[in-house]
Amino acid sequence: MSHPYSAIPDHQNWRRAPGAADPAALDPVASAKFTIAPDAPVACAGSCFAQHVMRHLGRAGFNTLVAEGPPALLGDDLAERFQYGIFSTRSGNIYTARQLLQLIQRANGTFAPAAAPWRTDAGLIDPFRPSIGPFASEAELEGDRAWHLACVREMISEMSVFVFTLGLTEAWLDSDGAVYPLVPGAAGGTFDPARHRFHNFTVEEVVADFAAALALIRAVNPGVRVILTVSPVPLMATALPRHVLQSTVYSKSVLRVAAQLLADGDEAIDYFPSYEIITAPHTRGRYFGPDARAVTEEGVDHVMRVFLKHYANVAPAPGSAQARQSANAAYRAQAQQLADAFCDEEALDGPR
Amino acid sequence: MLRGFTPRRKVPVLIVGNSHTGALTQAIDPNKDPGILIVRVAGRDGTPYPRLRHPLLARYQPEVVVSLIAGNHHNAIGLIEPPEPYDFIVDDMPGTLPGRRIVPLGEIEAAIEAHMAPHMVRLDRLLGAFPGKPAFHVAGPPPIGDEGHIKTYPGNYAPASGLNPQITPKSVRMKLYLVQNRLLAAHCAARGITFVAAPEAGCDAEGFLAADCRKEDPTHGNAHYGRLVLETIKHAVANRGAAAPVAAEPAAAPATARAA
Repeated sequence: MSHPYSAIPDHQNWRRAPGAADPAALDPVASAKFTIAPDAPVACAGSCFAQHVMRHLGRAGFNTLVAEGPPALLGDDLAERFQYGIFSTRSGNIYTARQLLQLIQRANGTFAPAAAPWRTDAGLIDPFRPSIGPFASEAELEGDRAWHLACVREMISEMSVFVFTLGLTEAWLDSDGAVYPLVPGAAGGTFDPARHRFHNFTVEEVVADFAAALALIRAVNPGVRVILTVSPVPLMATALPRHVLQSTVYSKSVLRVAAQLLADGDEAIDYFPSYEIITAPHTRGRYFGPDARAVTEEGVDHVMRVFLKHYANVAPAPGSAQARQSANAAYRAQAQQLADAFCDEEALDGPR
Repeated sequence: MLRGFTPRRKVPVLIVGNSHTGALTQAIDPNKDPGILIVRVAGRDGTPYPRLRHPLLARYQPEVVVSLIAGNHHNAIGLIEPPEPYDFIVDDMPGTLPGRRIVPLGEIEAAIEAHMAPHMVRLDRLLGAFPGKPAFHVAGPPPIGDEGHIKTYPGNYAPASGLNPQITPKSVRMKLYLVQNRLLAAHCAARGITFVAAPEAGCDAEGFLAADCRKEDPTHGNAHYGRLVLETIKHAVANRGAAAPVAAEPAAAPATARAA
């Protein structure tokens, strides 16, 4: 008997799609919209998980674009300590589409948040890049910020592919609408309930914000292509009076839907299911660390293996000698990288 | 006496350092500087610094130890202009040059500290060999402000500077020097070492190495500068109340030694 499901390919059928019996074989990408040439500049930004993407793309031989590199006098180890090369610019984590939009607006000079630097014992903190610094003076902070925003403009004009990882929907806004990556008071500044308000972005808002950001990018770089991902890293904390797991599922669901709507409506936007690979029932949770939140290197390796297969037309077979040797050689460094992933959200898990 | 055993040589003031001891070696005078011994542990002509070994230090029994170790970090890091020109802000010099990337001071400090780190190990090893003895560390000479001098005498920096050497603006180089000295002073303060600044008489009105104190290379002082440093050391030692270098036994006559 014939019906709409009788002739579907294996990947459309849960039982026939590889992965249930062999988690490493899970590949939830049916087909990529485009491939990435080895010399195409690839820019990365977004939430914590995007750090892994940036690192692995560079290691895999992609032309990862570092628009904001370290000053000449900093060695490689110091460059990483000061967060150069973690993303394409020293943006820190960009958790929301609104934050991305406002970053581009700030780079273009069309938005100037009113928030003053946060003063801490260690120095001044940029409220919009709390993981950078601290700075010794406002002049220094302003100088570095100006350089950063110039590098954002450079990234926008030079990138061929923009990989952006959507991370959160929950955010804290200043009275002028500026989105903080981290609530004031957590890593500096003072929380003011009369000034700082909570907002949980909806699907429509995420779609509109990213579309607006992309429009600004295309005004400079009309040929750019976009790969959207959703971070599989759960929320560290929720501001809403419900279990953090509920808020995590809500937030990721909103982002997942928004990413799909954006990809479905634009041929230059592709969605890459890193979220699915990490959270799939096939993997039985093995891609999360002991805290049930951090993503293991094994999980990141799986994600990037699938990414390379579809976007770079290379397919290192799982468990192949080459892949094993590479994985073994990089194991210690990768493990450390996992531990060292810079995540502003950790500040929400302070001592109590 | 046991065979092979040589008693430690008593030295009122033992000066140990790298290339900046060269100016002092040229300037030392048996009549003016009795009791001062200079030991240079730096290689010459760009050869790597040898390790400051305990057997070398064990030869001496000083009353006062003076370090001239390293001191050229600001030049090594900043003499030649990088492709991406930068500037930074320090309290003493808050202004910046236009059109330059502003680098946070914390990154500048980290870069200098990283460059200084192996030399600070040598400093600590030197002073650790003479516990309880008054210890001083003398800053290296300030940068040379005159770009013409540097381009005329590029020295070891010639390969890095290329055919058309671009020298970092002197204000940036002075800032690097100030930060270096502040970090050195903090390192010394934490260890009970007296940090001695470069002699003012060897500096011009802006604080750069005075024209009559420059060696024919881009970073070092000449014999005149060496004389000023020797006098500064003697003044610092005397003011501290430690054993001032006085006319001493023959074994402590002015001398230099090279351990490279």
